[in-house]
Amino acid sequence: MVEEVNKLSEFVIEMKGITKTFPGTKALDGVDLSIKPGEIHALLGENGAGKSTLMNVLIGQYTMDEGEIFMDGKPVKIGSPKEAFAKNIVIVPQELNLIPEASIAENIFLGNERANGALISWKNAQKEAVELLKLLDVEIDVTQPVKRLSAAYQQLVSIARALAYSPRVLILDEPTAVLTNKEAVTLFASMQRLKKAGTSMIFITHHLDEVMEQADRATIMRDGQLVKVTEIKDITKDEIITNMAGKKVQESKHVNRKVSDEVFFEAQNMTRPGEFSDVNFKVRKGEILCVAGLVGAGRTEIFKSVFGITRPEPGAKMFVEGKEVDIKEPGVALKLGMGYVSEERRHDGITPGMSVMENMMLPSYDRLKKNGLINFKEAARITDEYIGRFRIKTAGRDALIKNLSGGNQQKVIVARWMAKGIKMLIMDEPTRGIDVNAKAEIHALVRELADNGVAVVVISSEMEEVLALADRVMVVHQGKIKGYIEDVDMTTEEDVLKVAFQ
Amino acid sequence: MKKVVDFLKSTPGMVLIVTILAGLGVHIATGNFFTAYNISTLTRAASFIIIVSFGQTIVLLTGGIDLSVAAVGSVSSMCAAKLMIEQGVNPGISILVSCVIGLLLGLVNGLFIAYLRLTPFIVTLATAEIYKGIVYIITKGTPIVGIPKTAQFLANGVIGGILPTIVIIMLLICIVLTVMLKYTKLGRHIFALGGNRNCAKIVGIKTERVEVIVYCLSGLLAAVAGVLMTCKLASFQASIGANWVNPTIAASVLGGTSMTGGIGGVVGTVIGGLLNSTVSTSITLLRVSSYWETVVTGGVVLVAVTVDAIKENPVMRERFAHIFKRK
Repeated sequence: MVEEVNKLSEFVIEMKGITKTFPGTKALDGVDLSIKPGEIHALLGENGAGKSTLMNVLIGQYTMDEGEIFMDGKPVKIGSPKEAFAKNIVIVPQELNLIPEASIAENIFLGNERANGALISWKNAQKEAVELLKLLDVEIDVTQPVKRLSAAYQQLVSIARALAYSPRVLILDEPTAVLTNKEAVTLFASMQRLKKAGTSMIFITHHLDEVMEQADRATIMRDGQLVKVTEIKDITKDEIITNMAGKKVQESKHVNRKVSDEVFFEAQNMTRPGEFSDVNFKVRKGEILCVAGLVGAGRTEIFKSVFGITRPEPGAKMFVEGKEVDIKEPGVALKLGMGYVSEERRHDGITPGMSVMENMMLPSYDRLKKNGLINFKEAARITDEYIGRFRIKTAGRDALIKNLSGGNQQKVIVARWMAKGIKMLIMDEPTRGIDVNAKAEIHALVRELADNGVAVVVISSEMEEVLALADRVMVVHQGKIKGYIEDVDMTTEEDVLKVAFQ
Repeated sequence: MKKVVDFLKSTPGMVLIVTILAGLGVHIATGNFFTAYNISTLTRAASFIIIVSFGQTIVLLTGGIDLSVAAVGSVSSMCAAKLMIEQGVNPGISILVSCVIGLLLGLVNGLFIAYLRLTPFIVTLATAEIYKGIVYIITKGTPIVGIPKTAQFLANGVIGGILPTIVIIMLLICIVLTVMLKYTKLGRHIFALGGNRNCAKIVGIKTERVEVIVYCLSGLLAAVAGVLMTCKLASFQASIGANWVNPTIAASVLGGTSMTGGIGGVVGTVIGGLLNSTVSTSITLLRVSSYWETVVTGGVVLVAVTVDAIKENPVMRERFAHIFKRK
């Protein structure tokens, strides 16, 4: 008996029967997770399936109600992230967690400073930082502040920070969400190298193609429960989706739509140095115009200027329904009938501490005024209507929006603009980080909007999304419009890239 | 019923319970707390600070802070006294003009903060010093005495032998502000600005304008309190408002208003202000040295924010639960 216990386990980490209850919900219900040495293990599930909670238990951020964790077959207690670090279990969180003003080297060794006696040796830190980044195939001046880097490089810096703990188990939470394809390839190469060196990785992602290509095994979760543990070679992408959703889901397919010829919005000669130059385009009523291109191509920046969040150089002209307009702030864009769904939902989409109703009605208060006071009865009626129509999962209109899942938050934001009654909606990465089912529902909403004559601009880095939604694709590369694709039906990802690089 | 329970669980609810319990304790010990006279005095004393705190609360709701409330109150109180006594202007007009001056001083804060994007803490710290200095330059610190009787009634009057006029004024302001914050566009925009400034911009809120209005309101309310204080003392004193800043922040926070903005309200501020007053009254009634007053008040604030943090933050709550489980 004793000898059997002492035998080296097949797994570096084993989590057994993990249960975690939050007030009102059972976030984890007897979940197991076993990680072999030197494997890439995909942890899959829709938003709210319990992946993050499980990882938070593993790194000691949350204490579990029931369950055990074994490391190399021996039971361990992980009471805090610091204890997890000491056991070489490290997470690269989804939300970037860097100090913008501090240098790359400082950020990498934050909380893990390389001290020589009592003083930090910056020379060593910088040298080591360079080496860690080399593992990721990144060569960059490590003394510059992190705020100068693009989101993608910031992501790589967070990974380098994790590597500084020489992890045995590295948790990567949606590491490719902000990366371009090329950067993702670099990341995967480094992951394979780490794997060869014996590092185990837990890989959380919504991109199943990445899972199929990179992972060795997968654990699929749904509603806080374990659904399936499998070798990747034994499963197909469709089977994974079925397991995640618990029912067969239809991925969005392209729909041919009729679009009027009437132009709603036109931009001429828009330039902002360092962001985009000489941009001209038109958006028609009832059209879904998808804006494709690589991350950092300037797509977000162009439409921030259209909505008045930033201002283009003098000389730019914008027209709404043929009339020249001066959109000097978002308030003006709103008056012209425009709405904006931002790329960063948490940063500027929602007001977390406010209710679902308030988040939905915020731009509509003008319309709801009665004798100078807001008619909250009417606001409640409209909110309930949209909660029903959009199938928004919430405890009610008075629930705080921060307690909703990402997909449902996004539905509230779309409802916000529909309730306002708009003529043009700009959506930046509307389904990033949102699970498959909610994604299909949001796509249906976008089509419904366009069918009602609203001009919809969808900026998206997901080619599947572009090809499913677009009536027309506008390709942006290095701050310039490179061309359009009109026959979306026949288009492939390659065609879009060809236009971008032509 | 559920609403009542929810309220009692909230920060202002708990502060209210603590206030009443403290009062009961003192009443049992001395028999002097829940008397008409004591309650009348206590609420009267509290009302001045509470009126200033209303402004502070609204500023805190946007995520800002106003350190100039004391100085603005002092300037306005000086203006009112000078106009009434030295210029012989009608008291009503004097009061009105002084309040407008307070609003304009707030406007200066607001313009710097909203349009030059300066940090509220620094701007109001600087203007506070300037406004305070102006008062000393003009008055050399000497009192101005001789406020007319009619004006004195505004702050010292008692209706029906128990209800002080100043309390009525305070409650009226509270009702107006509550309606403004809950049911008007401006009110909701104030919460949205404090809750997430970026989101507020995107939904078309003129954030700069809201911010300016908020500091104007704070200036106006500080001026109202300053002028009323002059009426109460029947004179201008350079000490008016001298120690208003910290109690206003304490009252707001005890009332459940978050220092980071977006959460809170003025009803809570009334409760927070009352607790402050209860502490000082109790210390007097218990014949404890009045030097203890600030120690107790500070302690109460510290306990309140700690309890709040544990309540709101799941990680903290868990950590705390652990400490108890271990024992």
